[in-house]
Amino acid sequence: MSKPSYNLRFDLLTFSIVFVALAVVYVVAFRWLDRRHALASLAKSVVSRFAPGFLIIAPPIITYGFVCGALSLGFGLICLLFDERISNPEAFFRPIFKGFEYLCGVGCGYLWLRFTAWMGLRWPWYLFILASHGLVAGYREARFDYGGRGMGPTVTEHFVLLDALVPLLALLPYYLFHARKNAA
Amino acid sequence: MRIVIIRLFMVYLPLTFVALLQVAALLTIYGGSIGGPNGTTIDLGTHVTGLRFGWPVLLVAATIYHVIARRTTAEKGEHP
Repeated sequence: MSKPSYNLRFDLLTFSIVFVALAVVYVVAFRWLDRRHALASLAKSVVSRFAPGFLIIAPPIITYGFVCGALSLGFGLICLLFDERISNPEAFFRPIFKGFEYLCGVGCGYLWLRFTAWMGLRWPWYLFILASHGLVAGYREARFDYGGRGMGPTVTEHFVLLDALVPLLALLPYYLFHARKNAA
Repeated sequence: MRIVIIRLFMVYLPLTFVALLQVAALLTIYGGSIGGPNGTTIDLGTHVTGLRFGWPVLLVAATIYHVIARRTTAEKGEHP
């Protein structure tokens, strides 16, 4: 059957750990070097100048491909520690993976709005980014092979409007926090 | 020379990586495939219609808005 081998699990785990470590090192190095070489202003000017090239397709890929994928993979790997107790993997994992998808849609959507505001871009960009998230979220689905022995990302047969609307909820915390900030 | 290398590795190469990531995503959406249930394969070139038409529409709309906004706000020194 399609149950993933331990080598595959180990490779995925190694890849994830290396990727996260590299990301952390990059963020720390960027912040440290930014004090001397003003890297943030350079990155801001480049991304702002070519905003349509960077802020339509990349944000949902990072949100649902990297963040949501890493969360789902990490949770799945943790659950391997007690997988003999999970009698129905599909029934166990499906709502959790859906929850991760919604959480990432709102949470990362909020972070992308903060990033857009930091870039100095105006509110129409919020709608562009969240609409792009919605397009991806409407098709994203977790895959369960042979009753959950193998899992991964896939696409739905049809566009799911309810899933696509979830990233728009990121506007709520954004304006809630900013309204409080402005009121203070 | 040092600042050029730092900028290259900390700004331009990561942005190039993001750009290549987008190209890979577009190639997948328009002609690639993804794993389906029980070992099957789903051809995305004919499947995710909303993405295949939605992303270009968003790109064009965002580009038009960005160009117009940059022109109209350039005098004030603001961002679009």
